[in-house]
Amino acid sequence: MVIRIVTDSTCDLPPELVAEHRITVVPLIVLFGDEALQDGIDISAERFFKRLVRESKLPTTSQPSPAAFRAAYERLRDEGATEILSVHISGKLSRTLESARQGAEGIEGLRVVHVDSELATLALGMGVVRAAEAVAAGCSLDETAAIVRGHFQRTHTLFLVDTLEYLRRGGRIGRAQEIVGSLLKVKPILSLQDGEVVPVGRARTKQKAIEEMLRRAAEFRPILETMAVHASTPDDLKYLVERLHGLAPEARLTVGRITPVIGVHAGPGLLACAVVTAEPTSSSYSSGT
Amino acid sequence: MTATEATALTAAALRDAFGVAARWLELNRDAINAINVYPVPDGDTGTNMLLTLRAAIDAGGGADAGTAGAYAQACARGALLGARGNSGVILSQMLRGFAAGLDGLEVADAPALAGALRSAADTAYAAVSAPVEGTMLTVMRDAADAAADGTGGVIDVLRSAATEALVSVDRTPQLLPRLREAGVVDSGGLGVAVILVGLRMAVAGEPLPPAPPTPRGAVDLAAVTHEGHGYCTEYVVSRRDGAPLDEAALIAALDAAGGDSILVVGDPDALHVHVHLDDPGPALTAGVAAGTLSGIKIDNMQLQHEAWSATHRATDGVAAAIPAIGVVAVAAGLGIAEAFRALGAVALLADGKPSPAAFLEAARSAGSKRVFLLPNDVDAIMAADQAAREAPDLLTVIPTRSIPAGIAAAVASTPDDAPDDAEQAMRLAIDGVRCIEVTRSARAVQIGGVAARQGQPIALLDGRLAASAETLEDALLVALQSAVGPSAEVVSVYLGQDVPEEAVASLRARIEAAVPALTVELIEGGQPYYPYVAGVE
Repeated sequence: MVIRIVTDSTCDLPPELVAEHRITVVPLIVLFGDEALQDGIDISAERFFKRLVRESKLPTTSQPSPAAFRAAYERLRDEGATEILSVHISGKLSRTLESARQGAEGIEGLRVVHVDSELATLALGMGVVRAAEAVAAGCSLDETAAIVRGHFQRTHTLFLVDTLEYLRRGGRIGRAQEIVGSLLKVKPILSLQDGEVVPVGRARTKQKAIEEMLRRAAEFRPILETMAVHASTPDDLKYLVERLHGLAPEARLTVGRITPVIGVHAGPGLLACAVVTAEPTSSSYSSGT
Repeated sequence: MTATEATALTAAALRDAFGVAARWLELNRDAINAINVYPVPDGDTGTNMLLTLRAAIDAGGGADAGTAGAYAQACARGALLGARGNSGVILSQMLRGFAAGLDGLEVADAPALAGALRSAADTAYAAVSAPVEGTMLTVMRDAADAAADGTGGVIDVLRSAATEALVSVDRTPQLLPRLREAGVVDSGGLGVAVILVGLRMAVAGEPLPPAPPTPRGAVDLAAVTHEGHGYCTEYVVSRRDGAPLDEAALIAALDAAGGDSILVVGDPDALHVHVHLDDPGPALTAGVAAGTLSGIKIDNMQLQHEAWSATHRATDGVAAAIPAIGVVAVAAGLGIAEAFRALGAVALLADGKPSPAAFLEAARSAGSKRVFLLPNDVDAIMAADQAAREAPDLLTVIPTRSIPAGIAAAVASTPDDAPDDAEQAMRLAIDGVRCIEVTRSARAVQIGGVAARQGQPIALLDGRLAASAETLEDALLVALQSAVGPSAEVVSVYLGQDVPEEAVASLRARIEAAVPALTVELIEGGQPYYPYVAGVE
């Protein structure tokens, strides 16, 4: 049995982790008008945010085609894989998972199991790494899928955006609008719950919002693992990372930058963190290592 | 039995004495209001004490009802719920102590009366977490000391107490540097002395002298405290179809009808309208001309004025589910009330400072099992605390000392929060919020190295005199410079009810130039007394 791991470009994993764990990343598509760019391949985060400022019309996004997934699965089979765990962005935020399922239909000699992370960006990415680690430790495909699902259940996300406008345009605002009053400037503190964007708090300033994110993150102690990403605010990320480290000095901390596709929907002000709590919430979870 | 021969006070005699004291306090109210220690014209100590004493008398009920002890008890209860402002809350504690001193007594003889005055002083001291000398606490204690053990008759006790209280008031500037710098005696202390003098006059059968003159240079409060009564009319105008709603035209129509406190907010599809008019008819006519009306709410402000306060709730017609937590925020102006409502809070638009009863009523109207009170004024915190003591399971006070702090707290909580979470988030949020209040000095002052002439524009930073300038806007800008630290992100300026339009036009640009890189927001606050209130977060 040879098991390989597939995910999509919204996992925001740094290239070295992708290479180290031999993870296959299928890119989503960024569309500037008629110009279609492969997320993270044809356009980097750096160039994307520079271009976003200049473009008069906002870009849109598209999930990878079923054919793109089919090509990825078949290539892995040809390299000797017999089983695939394909782990993706929340099915409520993107139709990527549907594409992946369609792409897996009818491939001879390959078993593919799909997992909906109900998350995005590094919160998804670190579950993908967890899957690769479980496979390396000798877990079966079904065991690995169970471990990853447990990991996602124990992952709690918190994020800020400068404006809800990007989420609103993309139709992914959820209930976040409810807590933002119209007379005053308010920064919403958001989370992904059951795969959707939900508001969890609000603050007047970015500094207070970051403190409030950290206060809420601290409630999930004991923490096994933390992660943080930004769009285009490296100083805020640095501060967040220092504080996250202080919150759980022993925990693995992974830092990244969001991919252009996430940038389209969250805007250049996104700052996010996630923590994986040690408290088991699912009986199916076992460490596996 | 005539009053002059009284050896002991019955319930009826006490009631009469309190009534005379209240009338004497009313005659002295303006004089007490005028000597507020801070050089701003919102002095309402006399008003707060008077309203509190009236609440006590109202609760005491009709004549001949029971014993002196029971009567004092009923009064104390009324004062507790009707207390306004810090001075009112302290007065309510004095009345509570007074009642405790008469507990179980049929009538109050001289020793009992002296004991009750002593108990009044002790209870008031105990109620204040950090008692300051040179205030009404000191005056009450000195009066109780003079009454001593009540030798002589009832009238002797009251004479000694009242005389010593007046002397004690004159000593307050020696005890409290703030008073000395401002050149005034303590206003709350004067209020206590006035009440004791009133009691003495009643029991001695002296006629009430005419009102004393208001000190020179003091503000004519009658000119600024209230715009007059009439009807408060609110409704939502929806677009009928065709042309979008014209906000400016509607405002002009309301203005032409003679409306006050006009507030029109919303978008071209729906506008929320608020206006004060002597007759609600023209207000509705103007709305109907613009679109379809819904959520119509008309309050008789005269009745509201006579009642303790008005609790306004959002009238957007959405049948809201009862949230896990509620927030009641004191709003000094209609625009500020709108801002709080937009954040999901119940705005408590109090006439003056809200009483504990007003807090309780507003909290109950919120419908939630846990309600947080945002007093948003140093002088409303004690009344909020009093309300929280009445209903400890329901109420928690977040001690917000200013409008900006209140806004920060309201922002930090959302209706679905767990109560403990919300409390923690709100306490965290108010930390480090700085508040600037701009007004005109009520008199010439020199405090902390800043000097101001009478009537000169001044700015207070977190309650301390921080700047004086030739214009209100200059005072605001000078104070902003010192309030903005390296971590500041947002400057919010709440425009008062009498801000000249031409000054506001250039204000945003001036602030942005003075504090670059900060987000600046201007909000029609509609607050009285302070043309500008600003928060720096």
